[in-house]
This record gives sequence, structure tokens and C-alpha cells, in this order.
Amino acid sequence: MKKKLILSLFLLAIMAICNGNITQAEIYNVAGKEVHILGQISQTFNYGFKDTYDYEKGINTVLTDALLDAGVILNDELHVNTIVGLSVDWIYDFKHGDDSWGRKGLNLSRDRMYFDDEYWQVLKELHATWTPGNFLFRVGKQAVTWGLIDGPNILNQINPEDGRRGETEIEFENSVIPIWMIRAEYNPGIYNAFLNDLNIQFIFNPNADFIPTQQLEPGPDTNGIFAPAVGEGFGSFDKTEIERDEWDSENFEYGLQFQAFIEGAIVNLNYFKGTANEYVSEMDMEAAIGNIMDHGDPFRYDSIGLAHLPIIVHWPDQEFFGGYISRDMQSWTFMPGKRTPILKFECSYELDKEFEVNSDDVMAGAPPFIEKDVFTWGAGIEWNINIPYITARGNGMTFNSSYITSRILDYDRRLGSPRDDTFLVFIVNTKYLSARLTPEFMLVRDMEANENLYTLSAEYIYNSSITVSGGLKKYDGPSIVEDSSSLGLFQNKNHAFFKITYQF
Amino acid sequence: MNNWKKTIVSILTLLSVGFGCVTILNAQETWKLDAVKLQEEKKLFDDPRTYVTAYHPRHIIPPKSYAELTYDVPAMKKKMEELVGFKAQDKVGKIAPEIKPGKYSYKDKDKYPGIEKLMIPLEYRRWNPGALPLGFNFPEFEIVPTKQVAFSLPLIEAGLKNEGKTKLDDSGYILEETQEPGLPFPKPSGKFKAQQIIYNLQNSNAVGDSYHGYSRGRTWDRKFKIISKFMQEISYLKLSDRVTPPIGYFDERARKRREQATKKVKFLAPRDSYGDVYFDIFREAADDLTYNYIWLQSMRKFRKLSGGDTQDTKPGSTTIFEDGRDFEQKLSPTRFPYEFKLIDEREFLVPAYSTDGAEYMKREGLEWHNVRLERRPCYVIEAKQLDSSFVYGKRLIYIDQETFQCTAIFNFDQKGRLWRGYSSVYIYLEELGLIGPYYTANWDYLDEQSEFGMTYGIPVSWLGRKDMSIGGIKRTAK
Repeated sequence: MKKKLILSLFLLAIMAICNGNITQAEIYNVAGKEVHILGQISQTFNYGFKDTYDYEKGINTVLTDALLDAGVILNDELHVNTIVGLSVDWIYDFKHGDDSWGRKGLNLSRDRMYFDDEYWQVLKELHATWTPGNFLFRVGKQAVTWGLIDGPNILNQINPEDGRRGETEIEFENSVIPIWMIRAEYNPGIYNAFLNDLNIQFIFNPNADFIPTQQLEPGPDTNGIFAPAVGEGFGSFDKTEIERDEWDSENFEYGLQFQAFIEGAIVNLNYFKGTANEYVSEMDMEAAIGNIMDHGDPFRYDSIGLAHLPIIVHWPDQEFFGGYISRDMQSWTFMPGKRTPILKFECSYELDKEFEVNSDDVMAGAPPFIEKDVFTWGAGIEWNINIPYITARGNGMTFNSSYITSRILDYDRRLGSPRDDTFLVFIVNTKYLSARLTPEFMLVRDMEANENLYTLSAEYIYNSSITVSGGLKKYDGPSIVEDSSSLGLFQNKNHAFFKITYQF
Repeated sequence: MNNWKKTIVSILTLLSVGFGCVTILNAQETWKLDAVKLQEEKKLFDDPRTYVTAYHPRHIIPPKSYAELTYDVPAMKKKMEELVGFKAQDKVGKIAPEIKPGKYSYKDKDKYPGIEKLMIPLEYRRWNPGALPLGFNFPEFEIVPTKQVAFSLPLIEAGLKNEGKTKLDDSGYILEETQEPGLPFPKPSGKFKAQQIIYNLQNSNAVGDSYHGYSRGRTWDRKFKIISKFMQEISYLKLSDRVTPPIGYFDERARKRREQATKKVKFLAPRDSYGDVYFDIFREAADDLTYNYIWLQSMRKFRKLSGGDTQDTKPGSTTIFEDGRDFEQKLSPTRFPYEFKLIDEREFLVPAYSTDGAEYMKREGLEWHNVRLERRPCYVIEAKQLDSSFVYGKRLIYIDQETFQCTAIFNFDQKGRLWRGYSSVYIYLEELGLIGPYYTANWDYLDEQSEFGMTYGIPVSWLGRKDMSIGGIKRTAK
């Protein structure tokens, strides 16, 4: 009932706005104040190619995402903005009662995956911004992004993320979860021949409402068809969560960023102290022993026979510092069209990151968690190049490649994570039809596990309101899932996707 | 409410009060256009209202500042004639003298063959009712008397004071160390006359040393289906060769780093660009590319853009970055050099400098109405591109002899095919001496797309580094 009410109100609001005079005006006058209202509705379909224990062949996702973006400018220095959203995966209605869906336990994920009705999922952002002089203060539910490299996050650790749908084509507003925090920035007006500009950012999160990353969890009963393949018969974890106390000074988060333009380059230095957005876990020995006593193994079995391992999860402390630099190499004009590349380098040093210890070692007496420092760095290049006979007149082909590697320092063999974790991300796209058609190829490669995820897609601007896109995702790599596997967990999930977006 | 909550709320309240007081005490007088009022005063289509007179800068700029930005018009006109050596009206009336001021309809074409002689050939084809596949035809127009158009007094006086100081090298490229404020070559002549005219076009500074405005527009395909729409807030600050205080370089950093200007463009529409801010730092030296940055609102990230990617088509648009202000491409002996040829100097019947903003677009058929044309003396320059890897092989540029504003430009691809065209109507605010972009019509003749933008801006002498900085961008962004 609550869900239907939220949906109805949302659709009514959208219809009211769409029926309003939006054809010429992009901004409105409401009670003498400037108001911006924009939004979009998108519909995504995924079509799976394989029928396996954790996946459905045919259409297996029918995801509607609606976003309403509004702001009011109260005066030159004060404005309030909000983004509200609605996400519904109708496949849970279409497949309700379907034998295969039920047999695999996919219907059991309905609560988590069907209708996003948590307040923080509907109210995505709500903040007031005040900009007196050289200052900026923003208070409210907001997103702050650090870092630059495309691929696994290096510095970008402030906001939790919604990873429930993995690699599905979703917008930033749906992949990043804004949280309640205060952002303060100061631009000290340093403009000299070396330091062209400087901006200092401070963020403070009092943990008013703890919202962690919505992780891609094993178990079709919790993550539906997106759940990673951990083996047939395995369901979700039985989790006991030790959450961070709200408004507790021990759980406050602080971030500091110095951002500068130096000789045309963007240079950042960052520091963060707070709480990791992803949890670490240990087996819930009490519950596991209880299950062993009951039926001989540590798992709990549900009505359809899925095994659930009991674990205790908590969100550990996190502290890191790092930075990045990005510069276009204006002297590198040797390529056709004299287009120049952008080079990027990003790194972070995380202190005392908490790692899970292998369960065998824990059973032998090792502690469940060990802290180690981690150094992560990434380098990237973005280059737009004219390729005769391939690129359309006036448009180059953009190559965007990033190499990201992470090393656990003073490595301990008992850790459940590998010492090195390296990814290569390679994206190439170009534009045709007066930049209305953008075909793209993307490769994400796990260098240690020799696993690849390919995405081939195209986006077409039909008119000023409608964009359509579609493509294919394919996994390539060893068929046996190893402990070090990452992309291999999605080997059964090759699919085609199609998306239509209406903007207003 | 626990103690920490109370503490944080108290601190925030104190800070708010404190900064509020500081802000009030140190507030600098600022002004800018009200985007909502702008939309109310002039709709994008089917609106013949004279919004420039209704929403004139004198209604926006505080009286004291407005007085500082306006000048004695007769003095401006006298000195403008001294600067360029003539008045526009003295150089017209010789071609098809039988064509007098008055109203003309496309139905009268056979009666007035002289009009075809007077109009730019590619513009003459627009004198028709609206029709597929390209927009912005005009079935009627009114010829108005030619008027003298003058820059602001500081700009004219700087040009007079520094006349003859700016030099070219043996290949016709400007020696930047010799360039001074004002029009570099007010009376172009000699072997490199064509280059001098182009340098005047790119350095006329007719919008002033600082400018803020809004631009709205649409792009249509060959069936007049809208494929893109935009609304932008534009801020521009000149950093070198300034004619208003600070004269010359804006500050020491601009002098040391040889910065020419900076521009900030915030997108208010479409939705997927809403909140994006493009930020450019233009540099003086011919081979120094612009520093380009973008605040990507969709990703909440600051990104560096490549200064070399200026030939790309903007998504859903007919324009490329090099075509900003019609011909923004830097003249360089090493990076896409041109061979310039002055192929004609004569009068043309071109869109008149609008003083009231009464021109409007009709949604049906994408027709222009309230079109006023004026005989203007023009230079016609052919610019042949010497690097075959550039998008264009040739440009044909029509430049007003008095103001050095580009009235039309046509760009051809490397195969010699007509590719893109631009035609501009300028706003002329006489007592400010401001000549600003108003209506710009663009066409992609090969893909048969039409795009039009309506821009309105005013001088904003309060604009400074604070506004054109990382902090300024973030304060501008959503």
C-alpha cells in the first residue's frame, strides 16, 4: 500500500510537470524565486542468454528509474536543491508465480530488489547551499566525489554506493548514495604564476543516519539475478550487523581536500578519516555451531534448500591520504588532427585497513581480522584521435584507458584477499550522425585472475527528450570460479540490454 | 537530541550568523540578468516583443555603475570615425541604389532584382517562406537606414592611442609583445591586410571587458524535429589588453602567465547537462592551447579537457568549439595555419544591428520575423586551410568594415563541400557601446540540421577571479 502510494504520488508529480509549460521555459518563477525543475524517466530491459542456477534466460530485468531534480534560488548566495527518485523492477510482478523464478529463489529477493522505498532511496538529495564571499557551505544529504580514474575507486570513498545491480546501465544518481553531511569550501584567492588557483574542501559527516554501501551480495534470495555465482545451492548470508551508532563522535567522518590548478593541470591532495562503506565479516560461531549440532554443517537451510552461512558484519574504521593529477599534454600534437591526450595519475595510501582472515586459519586460532596498510595507484590516458575512413568528419575516436593496482603491504598469507589486485579498464567510443550516435566498446580486465568483462553498446539521441541505448555484456575467462575471482562471479550473466530515456 | 547534535546545530547557527554579518558588511555591488524575467520578457518562439528596450541594462545595473559604463554617444561616434577612417553610411548606397529603405516580401523578388545583387548569395536563398530541410528563412524583411555603430569610448580611445603599435611578423602573425589594448589594426592595409582584418575580428572586444548573459536555443533535424535544446549562463572576463580598470592585464598572474581571457558556461538545460560548467582559460601565445576544464554535475567531478579537441561537434549540435564567436580559432603558423585572401570589399544587405530585440522565430516553419536588414560595408575573406587534417578546407568570412564583427561565415570541408554556415544578428546598446551576440543561426548543410541561439548579456564590471576560479565554478554549479 505504501509502495503504491509513493508510486502514484510520484507519477502524478511528473505528469503535472510534463503537462506544464515546459516546452520553452527551462526555469520558472515561483513566488518571485527562480525554480529549476528537470527530470527523467528511463526504462531498462535486460535479456539473459543462459539459464543457470543463478540466472534466467530471456527478459530478466524490467527496471524503471525516475528522477526529479529541483532547485530553488532564494537569493544570489542561497539555494536549495533536491533530487527524488523512484526505482521499480517490474520483473518481480511479471515473474510472480513463475516456476523457474521461484525454484531458483529469485522471488525471495523481492523485498530488496523490487521497489526502492527506503526514505534514502526516494529522497536522494536534499541540501541547502550558502555561498558567501569565497566560501561555500552545503548542509544536507549530498554526494561528494573524489578522484578521477575510471574504474575501481581509489580516492572516491566518501559516499556509499548502490551496487545491487552490478554492471547494469544506471545513472550516477542511482549508483551513488548521497549521505547527510556538511561540506565547506574556501577559495582563498591565490592566483600567482605557479599556483593558478586553490580550493580547500572540508567535509564532515556526523553519522546522522548510517547508510552503508548496498553490496552485491551472494544468494539469489537477496540479490536476484544479479547475485554473483558462488555455487549452486548457496543462498545469502544470515547476517548479524553491528552498525555504527549515530551521532557518536567515534563514528564521525572527516575529509580534507586541497584542489589546485597548477600550470594548467588539476592537482589534488586528499585525506579522509571515517568508516569504510563496505563491511567485513566473520563467521557467527555461535549460530554456526548451533547449525552443526542441529544437522551437521554450519549452514541454515531454507524452505527451497538454499544454504545460508551465518556471519557477523561490521564496518571498520578507514583512514587514507592520497591525491591525483590530471593534465593535457599540449605539446603531443603528433597524431592526426593534432588532438592532445589527457594523462591522469591517482593514488591513495590507506592505513590499517581491516582484512578478513581465511576461515581455516581462524579455526586454527588466528584472529578473524588483520589490519594492513594498502597502497593503490592508477594511471590513465584519454586521447581523441582522428582515424581516416573510420571516424566521422569532425569527430575523433576517444581512447580512455586506466590501469589500477592495489597492493597490501607486509602481506600476511592468512588474509582472505590476494596481495595484489590489478584492473585494466579500456574504453573506446566515437560519434556519428552529427554526434547523435555514440557506439562504445568497454573492457574491464582482472589482471591476476585473467578475467574479462566486455561491453559493446551504442547510444542514439532520437530528439531533445528521448535517448535510446543498447548493447551486450559478456564475460570471458576461466569457467571455474577461484577464490581470487572477481569478474568470474558473473560468468553466467552474459546479457543484452536496452534502455530508453525520456528527459524533461 | 543528544549533546553532539546540539553542539553541531549550535556551531552551524553561530557560523551562519557570523558569516551573514561579514557578507552584509563586505558586500560588493553586483548585478546580473534575471533568467526568469528574461524568459518572461521574451519567449523563444512567436514573441515579437521588444525585450531589449523593456529589459534594458539601465533597468538592471545600479545607477552609479550604469553611469560609469555609459558614454557620450556623439563623442563615441566622432572618435569611431576617426578610428576606422569612415562612417558606415558613407560607404554604402552604390550597389543597386534603387533599393531603398522599406518593406519587402519574397513575392517581390522579380520586382527588385537588385536585392539579389546586394545580399550574400547563401543568405539570399533564405528570403523565402519557411521550408524543409533547413530553417530560418524569412519571407519578409524591412531595409532600415544604415547607421554608424560605435564601440565603447574606452575601447575607441585605446585603439586611437595605440594605433600602429601592434606589429605582424614576416608571415603575417601578430607579435604578441607588441599588442596593446584596443583594435589592433583599425585601418587594415598592406600585404597582410586580410590577416589584420581577422585579428580585428578576434580582438574587437565589442562585448566589453566583462560580460554576463544567457543563451537559449534549439537544434532541429531536416524534418524540423527538435533534437537538442540548451540554456546556458555565460560569464566572460578579459584578462589582457583591457580598456577598463584594471587597464592592460587584469592582474599579475595574467601578465606572467599571458592569459588572454577566461570564460565560464553553466548549462541549465538539457537535463543530462544541467549543472555542468565549462571553464576555459584562453592564452595569448599563438601556439598555447586553451586550458579547458569541466565540472561534470552528473559525476560531481572536475575534469580536465583536452585543449586540442576543438574540432569535435558538440552533441546534438551543428557547432564545433573552433566556431565559437564565429571564428575563434587561433591564428598559428604551426597549428592549422591558413592562407588568407581578401577577395572583396563591398556593401551587402545583412541583418541590421538590433537595438530593440524585436526579431523573433516563428515555431511554424522555423521562420524569422521582424527581420531588419541594413546595407553594411563588408570585407569578404577566403581562408584556405593548409593542413589537410583539419575539419575544414576553407572558410568564407563576411566581416563588417566598421565594427569588425562577423556577419556570416561559411565553412567547407576538405572536399570543398559547403558544410557549416553561421549568420549573426547583433544587439547594439548604443550608450554602452556594446555589440553583443543576439540571434545566431547555424546550419549543417551536409547533415541538414539547423540550430539557433538567442543570447542576451550585459557588462558586469564586478566580475573577478573569485567568480572565474575553482571556487567560483563550484559556487555556480548546482
